[in-house]
Amino acid sequence: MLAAGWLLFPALLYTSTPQPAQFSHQAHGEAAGLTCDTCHGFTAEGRFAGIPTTESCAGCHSGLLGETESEKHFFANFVEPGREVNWLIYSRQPDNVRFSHARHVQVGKMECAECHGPHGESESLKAFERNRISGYSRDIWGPRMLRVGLKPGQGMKMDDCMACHRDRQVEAGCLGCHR
Amino acid sequence: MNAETVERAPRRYGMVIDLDRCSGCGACMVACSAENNVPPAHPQATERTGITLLRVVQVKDAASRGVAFIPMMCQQCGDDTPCMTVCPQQAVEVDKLTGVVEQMPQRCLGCRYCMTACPFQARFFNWWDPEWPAGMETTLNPGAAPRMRGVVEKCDFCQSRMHAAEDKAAMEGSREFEYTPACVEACPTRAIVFGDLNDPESDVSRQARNSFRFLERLGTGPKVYYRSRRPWLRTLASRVGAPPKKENGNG
Amino acid sequence: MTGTRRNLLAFGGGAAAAVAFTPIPWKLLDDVSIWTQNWSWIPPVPRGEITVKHSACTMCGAGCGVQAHCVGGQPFGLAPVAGHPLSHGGLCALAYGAHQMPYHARRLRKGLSRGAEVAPDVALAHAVEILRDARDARRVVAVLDERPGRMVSAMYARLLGGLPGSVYLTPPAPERATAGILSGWAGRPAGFDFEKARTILSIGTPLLDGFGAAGALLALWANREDRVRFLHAEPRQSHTAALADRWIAIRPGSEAAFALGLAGVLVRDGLAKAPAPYGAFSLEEAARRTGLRPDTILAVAHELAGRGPALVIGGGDPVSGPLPRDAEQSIAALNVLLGSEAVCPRHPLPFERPATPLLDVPDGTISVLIADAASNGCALPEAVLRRKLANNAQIIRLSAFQTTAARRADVVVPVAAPSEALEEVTAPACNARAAWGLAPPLVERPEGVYTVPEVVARLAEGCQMPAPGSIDEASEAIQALGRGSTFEFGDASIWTDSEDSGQLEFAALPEIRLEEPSLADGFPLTLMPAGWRGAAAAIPLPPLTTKLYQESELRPGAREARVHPATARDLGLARQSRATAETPYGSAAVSLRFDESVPPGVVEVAAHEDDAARVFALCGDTCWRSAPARLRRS
Repeated sequence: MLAAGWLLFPALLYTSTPQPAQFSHQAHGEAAGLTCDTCHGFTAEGRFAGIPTTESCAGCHSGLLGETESEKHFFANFVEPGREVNWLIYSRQPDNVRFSHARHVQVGKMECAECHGPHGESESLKAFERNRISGYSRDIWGPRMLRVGLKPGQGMKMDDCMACHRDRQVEAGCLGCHR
Repeated sequence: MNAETVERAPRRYGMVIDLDRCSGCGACMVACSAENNVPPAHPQATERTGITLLRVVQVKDAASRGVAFIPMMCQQCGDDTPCMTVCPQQAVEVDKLTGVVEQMPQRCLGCRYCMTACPFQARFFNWWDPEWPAGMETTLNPGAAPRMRGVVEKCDFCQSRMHAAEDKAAMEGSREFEYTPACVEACPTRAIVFGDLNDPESDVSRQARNSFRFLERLGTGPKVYYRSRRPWLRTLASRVGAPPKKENGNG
Repeated sequence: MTGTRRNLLAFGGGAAAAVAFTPIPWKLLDDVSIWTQNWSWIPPVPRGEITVKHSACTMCGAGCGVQAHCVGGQPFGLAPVAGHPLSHGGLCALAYGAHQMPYHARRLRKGLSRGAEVAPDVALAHAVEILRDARDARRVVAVLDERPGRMVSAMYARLLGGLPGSVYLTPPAPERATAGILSGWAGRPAGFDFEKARTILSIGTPLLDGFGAAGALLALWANREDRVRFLHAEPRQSHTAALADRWIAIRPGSEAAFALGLAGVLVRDGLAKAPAPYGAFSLEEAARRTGLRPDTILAVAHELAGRGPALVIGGGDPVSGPLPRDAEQSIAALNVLLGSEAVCPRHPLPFERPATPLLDVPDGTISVLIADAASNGCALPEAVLRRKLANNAQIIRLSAFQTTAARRADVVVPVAAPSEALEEVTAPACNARAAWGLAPPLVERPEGVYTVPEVVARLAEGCQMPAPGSIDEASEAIQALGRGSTFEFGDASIWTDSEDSGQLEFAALPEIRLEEPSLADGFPLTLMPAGWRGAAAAIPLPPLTTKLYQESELRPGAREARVHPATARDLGLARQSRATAETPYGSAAVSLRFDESVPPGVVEVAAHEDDAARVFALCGDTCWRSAPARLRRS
């Protein structure tokens, strides 16, 4: 039963869906010399723009730049027909959560990786593991079932937010992060 | 990064409402509902079970044949906040940074103790799940999550607008910002002044000095102040929080 | 191992104990609690870029400027525009819910042909057919336009130009009444300059609650200090009465007598600046008819004459309709007697066409009626309209909503809802300066749904008539004037004409004949429909206005009737009880509320959205202001 609880349960709890297109953060970052905010920027109102649109990708990829299969796939399926990619977002939070990227990055001077982990160095996009009950990504809970010894950037639950706020003695109140 | 760079001077948001300027048009009530994603009434909703985070009530004085309209919202009690003290779920808190009484629908159990405790009847229970006619959900405010059936909600001085102002200021690396709640912006007669009561120079502080509050004698320290030249309104304010709602007809 | 019952129980117990050491219960608890916070049937909030668009509110004819906060291009909240020449930075309750009108539960996206749903183009073809038959048979065609003065109105007038004997009509609206009569007497357009007035007397007209642009008048009221005095004469203590510096509680139906009494004082005391044209009342007679003390009338008359420019405004109520003709004329005449500088000449818009008041049209003469989609926020009872129609008349309606009137029309052509199409904005008819602007659409209109200019063009085309023009002509015509000023806000703008420096010369005032109130035996009470601007209009109320009438008691809701407690006591009726209101024209069940602001002897019945038809039916088919009534317990 212990074994089932630790091994079988997590496997049953999540469904795994591959991303609709592949993307290498490493290839874009290190190789192409881009930083996070080249693509994941802010609007003038201070709202985080999130994942770039196909149009902004096409700003560089107006034609094929490389020879990888994933680029060809992306080009044929999204750039040419002008379709948006239905990315599955690992860090998507419920509607009642308010997270201000502007306050954390612009004012708090935090690095993206402090919450998102080494996502920016990944070579490929891992499959999106959706919790069958809550509908959110496994990355919110974090990779370890027990939630002990999580490294920074692993886990995006309220506990993780609170822990960081406590460490830095930053008061936010309830409505600072909820809406 | 240390604590000093992150802490900003705590604010104490408050309002002063000039009752001699309120025309009872109701624009604030509709603007408030749109801002806070409050749905249109359920077909069975009544003035008792509907949700009006801000409600304009008409009051009359028999002696002077006077009529006044009183915009009533959560009075943001700062001392011994009645709703906070009774909440078994710790779903109500007074925010240290803004003085706003925070209501967390996510934590709310729906026991409605807070509604009983509130002297101003400014809290509302979601008797039904929020529903919008097909397509109208596209008109929801992205800054406020709709609440579900079975939880209590109330005015929070438009935190959605505060968040937006905060984000905008943050883009310039600043923590200083000002914002205007929806009712203040909507009022065609500019009857409502909003701002930081901790700032003695603010309009709201200056106007609050010559004003009164509803049920001040209860000692709950409301942060919504009222003004009027009519003495009977001051007398009324000391007697009632809000004119009592009608007899409950359906449970 | 042999399986015994004991082994099985031990295994079960061990497993149960072990579950607590696995993540199963804890993780499930967490996931389930998150699941319960995010029910799938509660809509997610929209995501996208936040932008601001500018336009104007088209819920009524006031033309207030709006700023729309949008997410991903879709408006989620409206805000006023500071410095807007028509709205003065204010908006009313209707405007704040206007962005949800395209998704109203009663939105019409299909055409209706005799009540049945048809494709939009089928409905339009049917309308063309009706119009063509009418032309061939030389029958009278009429267009009913609630917002005359637009370029679209001129397009309608051109369409009618090809149909001999046709009439271009407009229903009564409070803003057009007094200014309209004064224009008639002066032989040129006249309007009010509210900024110049020092005393404003409104008679039976909710000046501060649904007259013209709410923002402009409320700003004037709120900042009046001692500069302007607002006086209001009305039987009931309405919102305007509550806000006025002085409320004069006249008897129901005595508006004309009150105005003539004031005129009498002005003439008697040598305060009139024009010759007394008619038998103005003696003070005593006016007091007897209005139920006021003579010194009240005297004081009001002296206040009007003694404080500088004064305005006296009639027009009636957006819900309970215009005042009787004698009252409207007496009110207009008061302005002439006062010689007010606040009554000014007004340049008409270059494309403005004169419209015939609907109530002036002989009964039973119209064979085909085309009803425009625009709303002025005021009620027009179906029975009053039907009275003007010939037997077997046909009604073509342009509508974005499935209203009672739409269901009863022969053809309904679906058109864009507010904020879905480029619309024209003009100043309220009472304003001293004309204004014209374009309200850009905020959202795309549904497929198949037409714009009003498109429908007019197609009707003309179907009857082989020349094209009636387009809205673009209006801006050219205004530019050609080479005067006025333009206020720009975001991507929208509004042009305001310059002041007309001419003088108004009034012809001798006509004799005003007082209409005798009809008395009906056995109906001791007076029934008055009550409501607020928009509550019984040609388009439904924005969904969020339920906050005002259903979820609070700020405004009356359907089926509510208010009586003075004394009236109810005399009739033996209890608070919150059900009763039947009866008039010579019919009866209706109502739910009684006690309200001391209602005068004794009056039953105020709320006319609200679809229920309004039932209430107006109690008032007959000529006037919807009041009717003799009685109340019966039911």
